[in-house]
Amino acid sequence: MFDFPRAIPDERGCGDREPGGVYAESGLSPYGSPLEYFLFDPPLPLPAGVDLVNKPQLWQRVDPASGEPVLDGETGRPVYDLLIHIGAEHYPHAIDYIEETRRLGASRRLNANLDLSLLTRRSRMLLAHPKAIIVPWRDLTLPEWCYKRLPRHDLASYALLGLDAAAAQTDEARMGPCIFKLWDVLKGDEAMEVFEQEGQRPLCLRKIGSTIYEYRPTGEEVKDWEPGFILGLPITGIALIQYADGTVNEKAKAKLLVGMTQNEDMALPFYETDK
Amino acid sequence: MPRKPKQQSLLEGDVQQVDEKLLALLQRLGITALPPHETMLLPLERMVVPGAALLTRPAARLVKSIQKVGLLQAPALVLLSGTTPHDPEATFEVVLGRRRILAARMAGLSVVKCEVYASGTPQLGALLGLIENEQRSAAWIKEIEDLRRLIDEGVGMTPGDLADFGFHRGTLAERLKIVRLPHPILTSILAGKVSQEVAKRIARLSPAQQEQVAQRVREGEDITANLITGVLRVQINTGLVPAQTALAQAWAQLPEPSAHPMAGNGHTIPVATVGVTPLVDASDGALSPAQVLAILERFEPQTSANPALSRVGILARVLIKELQIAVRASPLTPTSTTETQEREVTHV
Repeated sequence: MFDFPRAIPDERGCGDREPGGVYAESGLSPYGSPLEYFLFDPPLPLPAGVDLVNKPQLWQRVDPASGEPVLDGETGRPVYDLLIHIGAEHYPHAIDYIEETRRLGASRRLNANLDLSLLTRRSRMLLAHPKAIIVPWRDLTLPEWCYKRLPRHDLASYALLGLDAAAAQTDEARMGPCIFKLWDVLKGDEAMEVFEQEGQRPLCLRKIGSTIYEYRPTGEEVKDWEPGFILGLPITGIALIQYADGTVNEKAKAKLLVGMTQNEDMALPFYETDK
Repeated sequence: MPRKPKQQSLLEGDVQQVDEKLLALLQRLGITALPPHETMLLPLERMVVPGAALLTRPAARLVKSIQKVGLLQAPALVLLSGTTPHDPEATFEVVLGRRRILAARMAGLSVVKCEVYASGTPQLGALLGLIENEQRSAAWIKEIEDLRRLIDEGVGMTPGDLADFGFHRGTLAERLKIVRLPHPILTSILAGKVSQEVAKRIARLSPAQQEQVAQRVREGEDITANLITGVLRVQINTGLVPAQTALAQAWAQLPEPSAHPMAGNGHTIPVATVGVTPLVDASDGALSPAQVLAILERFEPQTSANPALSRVGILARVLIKELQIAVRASPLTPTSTTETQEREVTHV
C-alpha cells in the first residue's frame, strides 16, 4: 500500500492535537532533505497588511515575475499555499518551533472552513513567528556556523573569504540577519539545564513540549524583533483527529475527498487518527 | 492549540476602578479641576443619546432592575442646546450611561437623576464617552469618533497614555489606525457606510494604497468589501514575492526526489531528520538504537537515586526521548507500523 510521511503525535509546545481537529502535516522521512533546506535565511518579513494571528490562510501562489497565478503543470489548476502564524504564547522563540519540527515534523491546526480541496502536493506551508527577525543584527557578533553556507553570514564564511570577523559589526557588506544567530541569542536562563564547559560557551538544554534541544548562548541580548517567515515546508498530508466515537470532522473530510477527485495524482493524502 | 481570542471592548474593567486615573488624565487634558457640574432631575425626553440606533438593546434584566430600584449610578450629560442647564427648553447629550438611559426609557421612567456638566469641554466629553464600558460591537464608530476628537484637539495623548489609563492595547492600536485613515475614508466610516471588518482591512493597507482608496471615494465610488479585499490581496502578493522567490530557489537546489514511495509520489520532498541508516539490529556486533534505548531505560532510574548522577540523568532522559522518537519514526520498525495501521484510516 502507498504510504506517506506523517508528523509524530508526541507532545508539542502547543499541547496535544484535539479531537475533531484538522492538521496540515509535514512528516519525517529518511528519504527527504534536512530541515535546513526549508529554513528561510534570512527570515523574510511579513508582507504589509497580512493578518495571520490565529488565522491560517490559503493563499493563491503568484509568479513573482509576471504577477500571474501559478498553475500546476500536472492539473492545470492554481496552486495554493498555507500561510500560518506560530504563536509566541506556545513557542516563545522561533527556534522552539524549528527544533520541534526537526524532531517531530510539523503539524499545524487548520480552520475546517478553509477549502481544503485546493491543497495539493505542490502546496507548501509558510510559517511565520513574531520573533523571527533580529532588528539590530548588525550590532551582534557573527554566528559560528550558517548551516545554509551563505557567504558573509558566519565566522566560517569570513574565514574562508579571509575577512576579519572581529570587524564584522562594521562590515557594510555583511549579509543577514542569519537565521542561525537565533540559537546564539536565546538566553541561558531560559534553559532547563546549563552545563558549564571550560573554554567554551555553556551548553544549555531547553524543553518545549516533549522536545529537548541544545544551544550555546553568547550572552548577547536582543530586545527589538520583527515578525517574519522562518520555514517553507512541503505539506505531506492532512491528519483528521477522531472524536471519541471514531468519527472525524465530516465537512473537512468531504472537502479532502473532493480534492482527491479533482487533483488526481497531485491530490494530498489524508488519514484519520485518534492522536 | 491556539484559539481565536474574544473581541475585547476598548476599556477593560469597571469604570469605577479608574476614577483616580481619570483625575490624573484630566490634569493632562489641562483640566485642573472637575468642570462645573450639578446633580439634576431631568426628563428623559430632553436627552439625546448619540449612536442610539447602533447600540445593542439593553438587557431585559437591566430594564427590570431599573423598574425596581431606579438608576443607581447617575448618567453624565452635557448641555447640548439652551443657555443654561436650568433653561426649560435645554437639551442634553448623554456622554456616560447611554445604555442606562435607553433602559430607563424602556422601563417607563420619565425623569432620572443625572450629573450635568457645563458645555465647552469637548475633550472631557470624548474621554467620558470612551470610558463608558458598556459599548459593544455596534458602538465602535463612536469610539472612533471619540478618539478622533482627542487627537484632533491636540491633547497630545499617546497610545501609551491611554493604555495606562486602562484601555485594551490591541483594540486601541487597531482603532487608532482607523482614526488616522485619510479623511474621505474616515468620513465614510463615521457616516456608518463601512462595516467594522472592512475598516480594519483598510487600516492594514499601506499609506499609498489607502490614499488610492481615498481618491476613489473622492470620485464617488463606494467602499465595498470586494474593493478592499482586492487591493489588500495585491499588496500582500507583492510582499510575498521574496518568500516565493526563496522557495523556488530552495526547491531548485534540492536533489531529485527518491523513487521510494515515502518520498511522496516524487513531487513533494518531506523533511528528513531521522537517520538514513535502517534501525535494525546490526550484524557486525554494533548496538542498534533499540538496544541502546533498552540499556538506557534500565540505567536511567539509578540516576534519580544517586545525586552524583543527577546531571547524567538529564542527559540520559534526553537520549531516551530521542531514541524513542527515532525508533518509532522508522518505517522499518515493524511493531510501530502495525500498531499505527490498526487505529488509522488512510486515504491516498
